[in-house]
Amino acid sequence: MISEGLRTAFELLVSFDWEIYQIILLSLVISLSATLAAGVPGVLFGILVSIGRFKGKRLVKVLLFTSMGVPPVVMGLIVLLLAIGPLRPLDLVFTRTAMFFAQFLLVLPIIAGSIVISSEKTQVRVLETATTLGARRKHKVGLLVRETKPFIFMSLILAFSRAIAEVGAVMLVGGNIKGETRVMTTFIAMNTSMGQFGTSIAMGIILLFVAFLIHLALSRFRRDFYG
Amino acid sequence: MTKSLLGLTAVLSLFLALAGCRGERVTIVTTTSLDNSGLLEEILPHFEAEHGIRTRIVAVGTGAAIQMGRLGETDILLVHDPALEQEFMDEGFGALRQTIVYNDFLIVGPDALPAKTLADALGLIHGNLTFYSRGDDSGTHARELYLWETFGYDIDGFGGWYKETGQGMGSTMNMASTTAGYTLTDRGTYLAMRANLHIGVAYENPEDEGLHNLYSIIKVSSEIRGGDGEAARVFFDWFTSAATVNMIGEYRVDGERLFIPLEE
Repeated sequence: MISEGLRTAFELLVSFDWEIYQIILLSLVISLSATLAAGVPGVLFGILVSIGRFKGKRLVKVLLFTSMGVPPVVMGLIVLLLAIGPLRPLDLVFTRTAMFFAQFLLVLPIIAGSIVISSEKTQVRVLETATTLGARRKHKVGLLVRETKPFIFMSLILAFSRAIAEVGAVMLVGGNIKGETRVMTTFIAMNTSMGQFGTSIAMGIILLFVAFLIHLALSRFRRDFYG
Repeated sequence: MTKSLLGLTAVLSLFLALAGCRGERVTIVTTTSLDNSGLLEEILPHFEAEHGIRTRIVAVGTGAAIQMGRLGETDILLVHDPALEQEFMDEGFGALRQTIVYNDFLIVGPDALPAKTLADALGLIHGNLTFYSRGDDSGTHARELYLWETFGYDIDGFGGWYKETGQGMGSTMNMASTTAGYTLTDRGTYLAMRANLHIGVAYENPEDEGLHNLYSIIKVSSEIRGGDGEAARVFFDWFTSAATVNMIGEYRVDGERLFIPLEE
């Protein structure tokens, strides 16, 4: 089955079937844009939680870490209910925008949470050192972001991996409509339910191959991280 | 810490080992539409009590069901795609097959279609109204394609009003309900889901044979499945017996019969 999948994957790619390329492209565009869009507020929130000294910090962290584990299908359901309820006038149901929105919300806590987990100690140390050396507030912020950079990169990689691999949210809010909202994971789920296991494996291989290419490209200019 | 983790692992392993224990058991792969109807939950306890054989239901689309049969992953298939079933038998994967009951397909949507015939109904939808197609090679999808073709339409030329979901009957009907669209469904799934839908019957005609939905039981060949196939044989005989067929014919959801025995 696996070797048949490899062959089918190759056939799918060289068949130059526009539909297949469209599915791959849509997956990439939605997951990349959701990750990058969630990056800014996610990183800022993560840094704020890390260096903040406030009442209820422990509770905030517990809630943040909990929401890192929200099942995609639950997030999809929330977005769907919003789309058919209060946001009805926006016509979001079964659209690419809704898919972006669901993935954005899904990866937001993952970015913020992983920033806290990985770099809280570093950030606190940087802040203390900067304060001791008498740095101004503006410089402190710049310094923090610079020192957190490798961790930001890692959190974005985590978030993108989660987004590109999830099927529950995009299936629910996108609806897997052919030529409109079908992405790699919903394509795989659909073919599996149709008993076309070979095609499913093939698209799975393509998904991994695409992720491989992305990392290969990133490793060129992030030698510190991949070195 | 390490000790308590080890303890937890031991308890979980024991639980998994116990859950894996098996007596005599029949695996039934069925279509989502039949599973959604609630029929099997109603009648299978009778079989288990009578014969002391446990049953296990796996619900997938007809395409996947047939595929699982080919791979020998199941004893019994309960499906509704006569052409695909015949192919399965011709290829030697099935030992026994019998068509038991039927119900009908209907079109559901936000408004009743002012149509006297099925051809009129499809004509009103074509190009004007959002229509969700299963698009998943299921029995219902196969029928829908057949109907468009029968009335002279070419699916490839359909525009944005025609949306292929590639999902099961329940999900597809929910999508139609959410966006005030139309779709073709079997009556069983519709009745089972009716309470949660914002759409209703748009066109129905139980007399129209083009809308008849035939359900069959197939016993997968023992050579494919492995084992002696005795439990599966017992199940097949029980399922096709007059008493069971009668029971299926009497099964009702909200007072409506879902399946009509072929004999009637």
